[in-house]
Amino acid sequence: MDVSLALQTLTKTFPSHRVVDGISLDVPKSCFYSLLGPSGCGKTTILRMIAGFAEPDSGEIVLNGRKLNGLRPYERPVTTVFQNYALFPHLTAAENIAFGLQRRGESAAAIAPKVTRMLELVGLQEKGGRLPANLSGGEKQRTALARALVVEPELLLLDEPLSALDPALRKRVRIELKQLQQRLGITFLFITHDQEEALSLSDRIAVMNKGKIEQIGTPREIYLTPRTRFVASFLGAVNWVDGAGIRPESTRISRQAPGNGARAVEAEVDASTFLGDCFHVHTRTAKGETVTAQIPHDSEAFANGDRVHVWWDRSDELPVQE
Amino acid sequence: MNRLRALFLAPSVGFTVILFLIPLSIIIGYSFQTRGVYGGVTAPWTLENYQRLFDPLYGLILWRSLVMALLATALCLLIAFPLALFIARAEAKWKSVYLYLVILPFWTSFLVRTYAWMFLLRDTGLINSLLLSMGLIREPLPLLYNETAVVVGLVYGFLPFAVLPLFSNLERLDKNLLEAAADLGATPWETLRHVVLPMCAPGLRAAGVLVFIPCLGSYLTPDLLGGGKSIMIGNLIQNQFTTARDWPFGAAISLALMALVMILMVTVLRQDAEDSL
Amino acid sequence: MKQSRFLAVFAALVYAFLHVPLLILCAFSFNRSKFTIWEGFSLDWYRAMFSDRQLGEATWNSLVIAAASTILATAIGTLCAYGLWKRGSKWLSGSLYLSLVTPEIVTGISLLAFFQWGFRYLHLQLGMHTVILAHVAFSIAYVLLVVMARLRTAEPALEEAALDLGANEWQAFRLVTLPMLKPGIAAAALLAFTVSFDDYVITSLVAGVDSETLPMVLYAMARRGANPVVSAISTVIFVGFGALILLSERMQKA
Repeated sequence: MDVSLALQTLTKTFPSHRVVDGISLDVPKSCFYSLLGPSGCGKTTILRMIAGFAEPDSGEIVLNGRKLNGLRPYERPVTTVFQNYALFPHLTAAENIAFGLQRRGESAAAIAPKVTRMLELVGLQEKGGRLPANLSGGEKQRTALARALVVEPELLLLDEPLSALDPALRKRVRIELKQLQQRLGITFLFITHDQEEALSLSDRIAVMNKGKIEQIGTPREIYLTPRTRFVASFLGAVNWVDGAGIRPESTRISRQAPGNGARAVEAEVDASTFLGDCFHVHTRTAKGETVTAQIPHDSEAFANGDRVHVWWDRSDELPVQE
Repeated sequence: MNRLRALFLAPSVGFTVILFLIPLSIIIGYSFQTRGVYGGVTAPWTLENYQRLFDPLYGLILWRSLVMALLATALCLLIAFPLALFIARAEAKWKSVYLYLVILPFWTSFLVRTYAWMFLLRDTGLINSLLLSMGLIREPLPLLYNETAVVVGLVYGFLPFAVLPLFSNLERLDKNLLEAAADLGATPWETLRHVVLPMCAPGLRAAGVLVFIPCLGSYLTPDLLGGGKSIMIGNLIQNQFTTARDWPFGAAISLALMALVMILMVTVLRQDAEDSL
Repeated sequence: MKQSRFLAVFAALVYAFLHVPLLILCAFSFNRSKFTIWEGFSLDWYRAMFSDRQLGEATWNSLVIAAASTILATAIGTLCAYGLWKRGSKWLSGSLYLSLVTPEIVTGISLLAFFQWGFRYLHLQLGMHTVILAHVAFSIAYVLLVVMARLRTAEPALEEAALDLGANEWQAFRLVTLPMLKPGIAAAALLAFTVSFDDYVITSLVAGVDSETLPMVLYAMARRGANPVVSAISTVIFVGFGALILLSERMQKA
């Protein structure tokens, strides 16, 4: 694996607490790598340290063999897509995109075709002459992306770039973003608190909590074989029952006890929620544990108070270690 | 970055230190010295200048200044609040017009505005001419050159200082709160008294201080409208530095005034200062 | 929101209070006689105003002083606002705000004392230059106020984006922040100009013999008694300033 970005025991302490606590990770070349975690876990701080807006208290940041510590942001071959896009309001979309190229001293003649190509790449061919105030949220986001990519950075940082978009748009942009990254082959470091985004976009995910990394792996690995309770719960719903963790989609429910040797527990139905493509049946065991089973939308209905058995395949139990 | 910032701040640091802080320090120094024979200051260091502040002759002037400034401030607040309320409740397209109409006289020369009142109030002024010509009075009324004229002039001069902070305070009030009060059964008057007014406390404080301080230290208004009989602290200070040639005493009065101003700023505006300025 | 009738009437009265005295003054500047009884329309007082040499010189001085102090104060104040926006300095912003609330008479006498003290050693005189220096000194805080207010609405992320894309700190200021500040700087300049042009108290104390300003002449005329030329001058100033303020409001909206 060809490593592009290496973080080595990065630490940053604020007066009240340690925001980033000895973080080490390797981002392979051309990887779509996500830092996933709740707000306050330190992922934004790491991003800012890589971009150069903050300096770590200890630890190194190495990009393609070059140490970035101490370099000013404009000396680093790293660009950022900001959460609220940070488009220059007095410049048009095209001028925004041209900005980075102008700073490198490229001539107007060299810049123009690059800007045009970039506008086409992100689907904004007609909108180059518009001011940010006249662009929609999605168009602003694409302009911010184009602006950061046109300078051909060695690493692109994305700070929750989809969070300001409305949900319908988000899904569509996600796909375009993934395709763009694969096409360009630039290494992306993406931070988010949305597990669905991280799972659908990433080649690798590092799950963070309270300044530390809990687990690194592919989306499948993280979701199916979480190593800690935190990772299991953060990536999706989990039923903690009888000492094991089971996802609702692996949890079955029936009136009679299953006979096939599967682990089963008796429970009483609390509520049923219809979600369109499935039912979530919420039950409570004798020990007071809540178990949610996900069943197809055309299953038999369960009424509140029904006595049922919830059961699962042992192979579906999450291998949580703590 | 720090080098750039230091460069950017250097000129203002220079001006502030050389043309504000140092002159102020000189005045502080003068206030403890003695008046020279031909004006200026000489050797013996003394507290006499400050002691003279308590002399009944000057005490009267200081007291009168305080009273007039307080009166003018109270009147300004009483007039400004309903006006600010009116503008805050106006339709958006009219708000800037109404505000402009308040700001306009304020930014037109202060001298001119003070002269306008001289024009109205003097013995040969418009009001007296009208009353005389209508036969309502036989002799001109002495409307000018008294304390009332000064207070009117102060209110006229500083009313906009009161309107603007009150307006911005009212503008920022969450309209939902007013609806919630009505929803819970409050009449418009009760809403005003129990919800709007308390939430305007910072605006009222800011407006009060913003009017009181210039009123207290005003020079032109009492000079032109008050004649010799109703001079205020500002005139007293000016006098010491020109005709009376008693710089140390003038310095002491100035510092007493500054002390009062600073105490007011710190105590009344401590929390509000950050957001309003 | 529905307006109560009482408030509307009250507001009308207040506006009358604010504007009628000035309007009356303006109206009577066109009066043929110098008494406060209307005797017919006339431009005599305006003619007198334009032919007054002393007035002309004083006006010219005021314009020169205002222009010079505006340019200096706006530049210095803007840079100061930016510097303080990046990282505050309690003593500097505290001193500048103190200069704002210091009564004019105190500022004036302290500068007088300073200049006299300095002249003993430097053999200088009170004159246009001392007035300009004084005006710059007290105007900086006004500029700071206006530009700071504008900066507070700026997104810090914008300068970060500029740095991220390869601009250094000076370029980030020049190419990103400064263009956005333009309306605020213009408004601050207008404020500095009007404050300087209108100043009487401080100017009268630090002006030399050859640097009489318009407010000083106006003051002397006002003190001497009823003079319709003052009304004419007042009208011109009122209209002039009024137009400037309108301009300023337009610029602030930008």
